[in-house]
Amino acid sequence: MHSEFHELYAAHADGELAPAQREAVELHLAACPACREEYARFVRARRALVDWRAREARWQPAVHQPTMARLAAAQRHDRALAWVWRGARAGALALALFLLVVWAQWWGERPQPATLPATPPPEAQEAGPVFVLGVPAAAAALDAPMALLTLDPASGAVAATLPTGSQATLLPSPPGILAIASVEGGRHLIVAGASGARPIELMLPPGTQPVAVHDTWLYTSSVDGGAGSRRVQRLALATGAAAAPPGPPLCAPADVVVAPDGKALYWLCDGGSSGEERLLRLDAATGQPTGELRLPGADLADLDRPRAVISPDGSRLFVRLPALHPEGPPQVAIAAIALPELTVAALWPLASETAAALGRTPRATARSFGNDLTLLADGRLAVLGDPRTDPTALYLLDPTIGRVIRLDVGHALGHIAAGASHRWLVATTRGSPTLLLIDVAAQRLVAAHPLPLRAVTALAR
Amino acid sequence: MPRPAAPSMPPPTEQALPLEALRAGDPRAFETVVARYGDALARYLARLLNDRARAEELTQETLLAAYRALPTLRGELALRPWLYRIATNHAYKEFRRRRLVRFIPLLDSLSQSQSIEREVEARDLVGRVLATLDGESRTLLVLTAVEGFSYREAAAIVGLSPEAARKRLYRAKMRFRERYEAESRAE
Repeated sequence: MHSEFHELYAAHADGELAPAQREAVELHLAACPACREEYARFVRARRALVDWRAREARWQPAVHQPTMARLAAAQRHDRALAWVWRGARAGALALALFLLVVWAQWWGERPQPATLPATPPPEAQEAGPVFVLGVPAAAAALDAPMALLTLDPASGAVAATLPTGSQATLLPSPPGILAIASVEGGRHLIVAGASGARPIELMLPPGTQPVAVHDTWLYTSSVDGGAGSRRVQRLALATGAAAAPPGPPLCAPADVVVAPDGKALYWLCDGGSSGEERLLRLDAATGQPTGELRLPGADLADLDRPRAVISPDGSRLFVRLPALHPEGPPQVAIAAIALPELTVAALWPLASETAAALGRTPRATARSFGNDLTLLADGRLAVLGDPRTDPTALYLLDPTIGRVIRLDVGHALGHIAAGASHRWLVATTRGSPTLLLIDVAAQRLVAAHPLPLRAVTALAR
Repeated sequence: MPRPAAPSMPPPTEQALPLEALRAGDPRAFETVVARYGDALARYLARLLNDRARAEELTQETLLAAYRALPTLRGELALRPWLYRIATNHAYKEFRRRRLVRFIPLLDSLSQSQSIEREVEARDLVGRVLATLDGESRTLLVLTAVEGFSYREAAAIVGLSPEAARKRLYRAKMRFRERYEAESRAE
């Protein structure tokens, strides 16, 4: 008898009952304490939903202007079509046939996969230019001098080509500055400059490696005797002059990130055989450690290139960590580290959770995640699938709610970089190098352009 | 027994809309529709999809689809539920298109302080629980409890008979309530 009322309680909580039913339910509730509790549970759940409205209530979505702009564009298009139809009806058939022949010839010669749209949408221009470092297609060997290409990912047009030395790499640097390190006669040559500006060239002494660039400073790591430790030093990018003596001995860095305000360096230590993986906070000017976070169980040497990215406001460092729980199944996680406190604020164990969602065993998914990690403008993180087990996957993690979306791009991915707006992600493929433009919001591939390269080393915006 | 307060509804101003001009495809008349309902539709889609950027795009698609369909409609038109129906159809397509959506719990063992992430998680407990439900259940709950539609209107928006919608809504409420209580206790 009581259970028959349950459905009515839910409807009563929503104010959906007719007066006679409402009266019957209220009489029943008055006589039944257990039923009142059952009813109260519906009311509490409903109140939670109603209160949840506030989550989006303060958000001001961009709807009015874009919708009216799209409507105006569609109307212009319709009017143009109508004019053509009325004014050139007689010649339209001949013109259409001519255009069809021209288009068919062009389409037949076009190298893009047939699944892509014929042209990327106009808004794809928002992605902004990207930089691709690699070995030119004409080079005889993979260790030949390399080149840095500046490309528009929407059209695939190469805006500039900058020759570099062999073994070149892109240094971690903020948008607007691009730094390339290449090896010339055993010494590192730094070429750095804002996009379009005249590059600065700087030669480093033997035993000194560049680790990051920020503002007008270059940070280097030099070998400290035979103990395998390093000392960090800050040099003026324009002149190579040291701003201060080298800092104290440190561990070998697996990755280095400069805080957006340029005051601190985050130095990710590869513990080597000691297994003492740590994250150090260093004073950027002196190289002196000012804080430390131990990362027990992480094995940074397990990765070819561990990646860490910092939020634009400098409050979070996201680090990709393998094997965080050695006693459990193989694991890959992304840690959100609160700055400047150096505490692990959140940890997303990607492999085991994704294994469950994909219907695989955790061990089979242990390497589902590849190396590249990039931060989109809206705060989401993008990480590549593992090149061996999951090569065409792109994972998007929303750190605010811990949601992961897996996209299958259909191409084996090599590198990724966030576009200028959160909607766009740029990627390169392995095999025959191709530049891909991915619409993250619509979760689709919108352009693919073959690159004039034999191999891609790095991608940056 | 006091009747539970309904969430605040938008003012009943549909009568003031120039429906004839809308049916004639007048863009200025349509702009009033965009101004009146655009933001609310975007927030509705953001609640369903947990993705503001996608919600903005689908709202534009919804409104443009409505503009194209308006000249073909005859008879009485309740514009707000009709717009929500188009938006819901877009959301359903999006549900089908998403290949993997998983909520990943945070680990407590390494948390050394009450972080911003944990506060956001706590605040969005309802969002997390809703995301564990199927798309139709989530849509029915959001339409009735959050957007303020009646059961009958929600049924029409999701394309169900009122009786079927009432039964499914009850099941959705039971699932939501149980999971919400369990998550609340866990925290």
